Amino acid sequence: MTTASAELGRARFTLRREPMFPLWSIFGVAAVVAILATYPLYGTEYVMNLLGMFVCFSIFALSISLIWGFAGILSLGQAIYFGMGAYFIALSLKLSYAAENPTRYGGTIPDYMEWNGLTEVPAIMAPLMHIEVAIVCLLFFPTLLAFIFGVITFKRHIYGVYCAVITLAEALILQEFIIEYQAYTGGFNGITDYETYNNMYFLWVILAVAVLLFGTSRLLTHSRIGTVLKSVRDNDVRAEFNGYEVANYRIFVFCFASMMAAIAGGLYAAWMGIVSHLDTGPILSIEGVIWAAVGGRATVIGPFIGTFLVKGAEFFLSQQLAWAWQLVMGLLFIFVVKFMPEGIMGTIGKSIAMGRQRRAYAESQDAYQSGPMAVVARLRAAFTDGNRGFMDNLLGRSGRRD
Amino acid sequence: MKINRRRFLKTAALTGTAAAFPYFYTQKFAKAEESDEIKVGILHSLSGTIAIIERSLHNAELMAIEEINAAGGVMGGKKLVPVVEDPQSVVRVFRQKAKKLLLQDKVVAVLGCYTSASRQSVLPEFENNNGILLYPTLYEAQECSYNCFYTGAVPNQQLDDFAPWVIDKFGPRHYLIGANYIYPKETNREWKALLDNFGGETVAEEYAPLGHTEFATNINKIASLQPDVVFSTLVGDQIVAFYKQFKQFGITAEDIPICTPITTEQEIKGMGPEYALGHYTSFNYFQSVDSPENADFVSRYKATYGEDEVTNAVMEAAYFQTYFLAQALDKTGSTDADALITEGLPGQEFQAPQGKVKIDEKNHHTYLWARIGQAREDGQFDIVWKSEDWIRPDPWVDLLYPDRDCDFTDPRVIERIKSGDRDRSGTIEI
Repeated sequence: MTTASAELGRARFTLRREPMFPLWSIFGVAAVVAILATYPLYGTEYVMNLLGMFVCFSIFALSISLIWGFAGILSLGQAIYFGMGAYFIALSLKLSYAAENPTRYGGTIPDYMEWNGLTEVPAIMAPLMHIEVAIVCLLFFPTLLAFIFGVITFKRHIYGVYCAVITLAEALILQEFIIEYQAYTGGFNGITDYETYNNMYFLWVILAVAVLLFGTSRLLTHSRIGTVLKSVRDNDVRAEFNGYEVANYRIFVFCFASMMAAIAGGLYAAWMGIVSHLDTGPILSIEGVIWAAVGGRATVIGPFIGTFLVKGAEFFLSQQLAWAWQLVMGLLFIFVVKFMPEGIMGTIGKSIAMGRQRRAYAESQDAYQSGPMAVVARLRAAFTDGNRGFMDNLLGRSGRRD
Repeated sequence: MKINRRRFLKTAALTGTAAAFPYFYTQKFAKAEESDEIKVGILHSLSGTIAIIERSLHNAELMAIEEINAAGGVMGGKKLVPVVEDPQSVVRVFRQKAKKLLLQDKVVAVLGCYTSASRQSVLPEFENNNGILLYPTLYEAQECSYNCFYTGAVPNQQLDDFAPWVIDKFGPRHYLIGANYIYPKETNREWKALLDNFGGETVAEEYAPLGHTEFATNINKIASLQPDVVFSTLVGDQIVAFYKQFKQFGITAEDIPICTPITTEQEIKGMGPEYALGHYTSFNYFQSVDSPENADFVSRYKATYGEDEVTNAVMEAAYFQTYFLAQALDKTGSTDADALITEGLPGQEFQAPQGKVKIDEKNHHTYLWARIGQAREDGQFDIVWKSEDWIRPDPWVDLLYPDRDCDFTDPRVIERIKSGDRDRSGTIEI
């Protein structure tokens, strides 16, 4: 038994940091993106439409996962930001559509404005007609709102259930506001009938944005900030004692997640061609929480899996079992909550981690210390062990970073 | 190595499932074309907030399809096959299910939607894919799409005769209450214009948020203002809550009658007949209409769906619009959408439970009868007034929009639709 291999065994057994982008994740993401991106070539338009929507929703679920799974903020009003993004884009497309098609509504303003007695687009909304303005608004205002909310909530140490209740109330308020000010928002009927971007190229745009946001989230959660966030989630008092300004971390991740939700909303509006008050309210918010929970809230890829699984099952079951699909969905949720409290990816990740530990233990028990198996073990370590460099692993050097 | 294999299997199974998902999903829909069947989409919510009323429309349409098939089908023996979808009372899902029916199932037409919100959400889909929607609900009008046929009432068919009758019978001072969305607002606009015309006046006009069911302040106000009539355009659960609280406050129909173009037998069944007793509704159809077709319709419906069921005006329209479609298919002998829209459906007549009805040749709306009913102890209506003839639908009400009309036979509209413009409305300035 050499010193190096003994160290190898011990190091693997004691502390292990996942690499930022494990090999399997890169291949997995590439495969999924390739399937989705080429789907329109061999698939049907209807399913393409669903897939695009699922991707938008998965970004939304990711934003919930970031604040809930990684920072311990349970928001039941995340659809506020999704809805804001969606409304900015929908309004913009609707205004330009009305202006370009004067015969459609007998005027150059959207139909719902005319019904509500407006004769021209209100000055404050007119600039939205340019899509660039709408995109800037989409990036700026939801983030600003999240910042204001974060400052008045997290700085006052309001967390947990109270935070959930406040966000829920906010979602209800925004929903009521949209229904009430129907001359500007389309009210209960929502905004529909505008130029929709429902084609393969826009699907690629959605996918590109999704990959970017999922990648950024992975970077964020596996950086130093991510580690601090997890410690804040697990024990905020102790994190504070250790000298971290807990509220600032929470505000930061909340703003980031809200901007992400707004982007998801904007893509959704352009893709679907319809936005209504339901897209800003508590129901969508809670649905998002479910998607994140089913997929695995403390993982980055979990929300994607969860959204596709739950929404896919919903659409599949509602046409196969129109009479009982809600019952089946309910049972599915109970099953997941009961047997996989960490969600699907959380549970898988846990069992993999346990398997690794067991394996590392076996290795430390001299199983792979010498002979041909040691080479295999080192090769594998080189690709999977983020604790040490590639060459360190291969040569069995210690080279620990932590 | 054992662990390694297990891990490999797990990963492979997961990736395989993920990769196969779209394939299975597509396969699911790849059904063989059956030439002796014609698919018809049924798009009404079977779950969610508006499921109660929409389920009755769904039932009426399925019953009509069964009857048509039993009588030998359409186009010389082909069967109508319903493709049922549940849009869950959510407009987004309405839109997606409409897309599915049009693109996957390639249905010849869709019978569907109840609220204006859902109709507006699916219309772009029908226009982009040149589908046909038959829409059975009364609605606020001011719309006419090439790809939609409206078999429910528009305001001029429910209000034009109702307003003078109410003013004449009860008096000119009206209190207007409605739900805060487009249908009540537009209806009230028309009602106020009619009041102006016939010498009435509005003492107050108030809107309650949708879903709001607490009316104490409104009823207090009614009690202090003492209007001659309450004109209500509340919808859904609000109707039940308002009638109940109105009676519990101590105002009876003899003191101040509630007049409305919305409350049907369905809502009265929901609240209990004692609360609606004596109040008035204007509609094209009531279950108590005395005609052989209606007696037949009601008994068949009860036999199929249960003795406790009541029929209502919207489901009557859902029922006869299915026949419109069947007759149009017979007439054109093809399932081509443009043939059905330009030749098949316009001008189609049917002896419906409410009387003879007809789709207007020009504007895609339907000639209907007007009736005024007073609610009885048994939850049915006494029909106290009936129009002498069917009433022509006018989607752009003359009183409010004198210089607009809807006419699909106008050369400008034909040109617009031929040119492939995304704008497929039949609205013109005259």
